Amino acid sequence: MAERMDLSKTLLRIRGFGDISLHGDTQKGDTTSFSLGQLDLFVTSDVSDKFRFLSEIVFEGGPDNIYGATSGQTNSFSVDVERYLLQYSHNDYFNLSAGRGHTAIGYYNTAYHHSTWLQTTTGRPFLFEFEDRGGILPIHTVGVTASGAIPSGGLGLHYVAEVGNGRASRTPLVEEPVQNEIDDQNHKAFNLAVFARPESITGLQTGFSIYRDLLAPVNTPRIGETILAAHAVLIRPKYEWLNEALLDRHAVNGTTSVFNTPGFYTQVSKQFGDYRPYLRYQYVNVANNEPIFSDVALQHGPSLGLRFDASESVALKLQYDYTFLRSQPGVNALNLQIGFTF
Amino acid sequence: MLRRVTAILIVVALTGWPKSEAAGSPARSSETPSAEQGAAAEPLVIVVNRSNPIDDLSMAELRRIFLGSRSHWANGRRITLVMRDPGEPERKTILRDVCGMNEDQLKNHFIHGLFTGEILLSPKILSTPAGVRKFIFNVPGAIGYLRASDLDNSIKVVRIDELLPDDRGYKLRVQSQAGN
Repeated sequence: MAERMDLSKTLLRIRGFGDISLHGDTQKGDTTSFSLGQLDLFVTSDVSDKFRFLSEIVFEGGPDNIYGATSGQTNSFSVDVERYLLQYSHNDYFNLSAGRGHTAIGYYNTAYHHSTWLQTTTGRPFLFEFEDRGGILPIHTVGVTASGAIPSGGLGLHYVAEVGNGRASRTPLVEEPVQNEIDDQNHKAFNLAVFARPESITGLQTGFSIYRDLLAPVNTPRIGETILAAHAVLIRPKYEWLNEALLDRHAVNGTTSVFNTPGFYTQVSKQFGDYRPYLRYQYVNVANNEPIFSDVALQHGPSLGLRFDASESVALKLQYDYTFLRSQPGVNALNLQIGFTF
Repeated sequence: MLRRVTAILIVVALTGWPKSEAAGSPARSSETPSAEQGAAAEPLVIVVNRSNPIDDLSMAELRRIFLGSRSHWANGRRITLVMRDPGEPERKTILRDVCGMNEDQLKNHFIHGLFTGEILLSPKILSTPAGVRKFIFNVPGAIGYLRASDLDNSIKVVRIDELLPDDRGYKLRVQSQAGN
């Protein structure tokens, strides 16, 4: 028998997240500025015992930056529906969701979404930057996802299998990179992730994922994209140690040209009362003649910061970054951020 | 240099974490309570709806349930978690001995889990033992906890690691000052 709708249970629940920053750096043309971060409304509703709706509606300022091409007005705000998922939960071994979500590539992308308050640092690693903030990965996917536990005893294995529209490649770069309504080709992107959370080591998660898509830039041969990612993270309430490595491989059809983009980051932090000092080192290396995101080039460097939890819901963070760049002077940056949930 | 730093980090991660900080794991060992603890400690009983076929849970399964990472019973019914108000000794016992977290850490854990979509439902908070009994009696997928003295026949007791609350070696006991 079909599940009945219980109106008393289908109430919307809304949680908000936001952040405000003061940022300065030595990059030519940049100015020291106060910035409004993303205003994130996280909306959920239990549609029935088995079905649930989840969404993230984000108001964000500034122009988009897609593979180095900018569009939109500075200082104006726009709205993005970042996640829009109907989830069906059959049991612990099989869950299905349809809509727009975060692709299960690696760890960070599905562990942290559009809230800086939940993150230790002031922002995401370069590797997992959003598509409209210069990121190189298909962070969002529009399609269907199956996920759940794999019967494996104390090993705690889980799987995620996704099929979706993939990232836009045929349209001009300045247009929306997430294919919300129309895919620019019939081919679909696939992603498979497997990870383990062994009972014997609390907080440990290790796993890998493989993502496959076919990109179709205008006036060039099609490009096969394969993204291999692996991670090992240890997260306990008082400390964390995140490690992820990734290889984004672009193979140009009909030629022997293959472009490998490696990247990794490691991040460690430890809580001392209300304070949490942290360190992150990150690296991404894109070939100068890379056919899809040649603007990224080589970037690597350390970030050092301190998070202070001023209350249960408000965190103040101070972060220093140094970024080495290929053929350019390195960039020093300092960011003071207040992140909160409400 | 990089190799040496990596080696140190691996050694510290695998061997050197102070036990008291392993807040992701229960703070107390699996040994039986000491004599003085046992004298002042009343068993904390894990209870479910009488229609629930479950009879026994391991401590690891109980932890997964109370942290929201297991969301369904074997029969496919969704698990509804019942917690007492923050500050109640029964809740402190669950946080310390099952979840291995304090209140702030548990709150962050649930916000994070709900946000990622891994946790389906926040715990239902009830303020009295009578409220817990009534809720679990009415909700087939519910699970909660009570002092042994608050039990009645309307709900079902679950063994933990094959032990009933009166058995020697039963791990969950409400301390008069269940600290966090």
